[in-house]
Amino acid sequence: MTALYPETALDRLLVQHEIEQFLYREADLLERREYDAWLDLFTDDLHYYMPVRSNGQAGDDETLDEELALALFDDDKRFLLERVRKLRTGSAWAEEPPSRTVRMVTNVMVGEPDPRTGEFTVSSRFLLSRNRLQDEDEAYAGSRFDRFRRTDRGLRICDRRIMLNQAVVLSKNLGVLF
Amino acid sequence: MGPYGEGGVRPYSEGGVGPHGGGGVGPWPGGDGRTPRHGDAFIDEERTLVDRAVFSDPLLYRRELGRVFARSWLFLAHESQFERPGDFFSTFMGADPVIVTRQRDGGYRVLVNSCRHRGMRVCRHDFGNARAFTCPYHGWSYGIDGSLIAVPEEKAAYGTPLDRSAWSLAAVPRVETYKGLVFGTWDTEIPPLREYLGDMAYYLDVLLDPDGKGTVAAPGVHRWRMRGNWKLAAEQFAGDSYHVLSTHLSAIIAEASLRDDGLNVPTTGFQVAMRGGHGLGGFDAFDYWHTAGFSEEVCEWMAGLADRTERHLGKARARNAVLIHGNVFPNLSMLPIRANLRVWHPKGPDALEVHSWSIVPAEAPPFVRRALLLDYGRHFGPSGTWEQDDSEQWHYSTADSDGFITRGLPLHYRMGYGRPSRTSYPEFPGSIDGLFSEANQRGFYERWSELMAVPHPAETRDESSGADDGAVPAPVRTT
Repeated sequence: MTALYPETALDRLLVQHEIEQFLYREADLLERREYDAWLDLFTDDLHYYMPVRSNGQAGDDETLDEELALALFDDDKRFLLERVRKLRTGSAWAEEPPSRTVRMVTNVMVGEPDPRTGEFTVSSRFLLSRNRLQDEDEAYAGSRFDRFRRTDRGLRICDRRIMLNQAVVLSKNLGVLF
Repeated sequence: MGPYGEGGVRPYSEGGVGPHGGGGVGPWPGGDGRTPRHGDAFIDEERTLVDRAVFSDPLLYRRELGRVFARSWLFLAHESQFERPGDFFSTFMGADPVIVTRQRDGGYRVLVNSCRHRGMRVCRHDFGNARAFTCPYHGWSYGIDGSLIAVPEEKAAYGTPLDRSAWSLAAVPRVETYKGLVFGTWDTEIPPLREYLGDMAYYLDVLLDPDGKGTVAAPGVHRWRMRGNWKLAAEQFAGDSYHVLSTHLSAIIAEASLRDDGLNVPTTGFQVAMRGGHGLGGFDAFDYWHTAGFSEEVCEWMAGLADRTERHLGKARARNAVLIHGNVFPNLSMLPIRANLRVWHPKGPDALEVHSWSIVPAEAPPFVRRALLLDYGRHFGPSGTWEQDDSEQWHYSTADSDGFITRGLPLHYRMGYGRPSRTSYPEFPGSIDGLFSEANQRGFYERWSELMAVPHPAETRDESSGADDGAVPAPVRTT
């Protein structure tokens, strides 16, 4: 069974490379606080979501009705823009002076495209190191599940689900973007 | 006299219209023997300057756990978190881990989450349903009422059976509910919960009982940890409207920048100081729902709710004011208009853990619930555009409270001192002051001082917090 469909394998490799470069560039934009360029990586119908984690009896609690449950982030693009505008005021004290962040993205796995819409899901892992002022030092690890869409403006994320590996958030705020 | 009787918090309207002075630095705290270790948060005769030791002294923190937390009604959970017998929720009372469990008779038992054999936590889940709590260490097993029901290899290990009744999980002696909220207290002598809430119940009803149909908690609890003393958070929610324009400036600017009509932040409002150290504040009536940018659909539903509230609670609470923030002494805070309740669990003198809920009218349709929980979560959850900046203030206000010099610089709590009580809200119980006032914070520290002046009987076991450290022997007040 050697390379029956070599063009498919090559396509996959190219898509894998394209997605990895997309995610690395995204991380770089956030580290450099290039928020307009960052927002531009998302479609206008974006849902940006980080659920609450908990120590339930059946492992993680995944059964909540997400529409009507608390979440750590539950944003549309307009509200992400509001967050970005806040960060730019110069008086967003939780990020003024701003954090120094390092964002590592790894374990990138590209899913099959939906035959109807062409959208595809990418899962990845992240480690976000946040250092601020003198001795504030936080680490956030987790998974992201991004749904990608090819638009006439290029590749965009239309849905992001972030699973932070903390049931009690161990920092005084989630003032950075994931 | 109110429920706190002779020994209660002094009436706020009698603060005295004295010379206001500069409110300057001196005298150094403790110079006249008046210190927090003697049970007084204030260093001055007028009781307007707070000693920073209350935010940093480890001994005071240890005493608080007994003198304040073990002597107050503490919020535990919302009743909608429980459906069936055996449903439980893990939380804290002061620094003690407890399990709130629904019993077969529909009532609640609150158990200390600590095995009587080696002290292991018998329950390490946040919530769930249990037939029993079995300790993972050696397998002692307790019923949902806390009674010891099984001891592995009991005969081989102990010969004769253990006295089961003597080795049950410790249980909180008093558990009561108020309109969906479950509270517990270790104190067998303080008044019943309703009486303890006092005038605060009048305002709590706007959040908990707007239409006679009760509330539900949206699934999930926001929990997060921060540096800072729990009292800074509690006192801010009790009475601080003054911080909003500085602390939350960025959130206001960002929100206004995305609104066609700008954002009209109201400038007139009130603070209410109540007996028992409770405090609450709000704005004079305005069209909150439209101003805050809710959809027409939500605004319409809220207008209907206001009509029902007027019939159920009367016009004053339905129409005359918008309730913004409040605190039930010691550590249950709320943002009524944001459908939010949160509790500040102390984690040492310089750290706290927040547990926060979205509380919505049980009758609210899904689109209203969703609008309310998004409004709360986006602005006042751990990532909230408003909430984030409070954590920065509490962190660094506390961080430097124990420097040699900073420790001697008392903090200024004089705002509104000596100002006569306002009468704009004749129906509202409590002592009313303007939007910018620290009367509520002073009331909070009066209650704190009152409790901290009286040693807890259990303190004698801790040598280092005995009378030699400044405790003033005094009869325990039954307030």
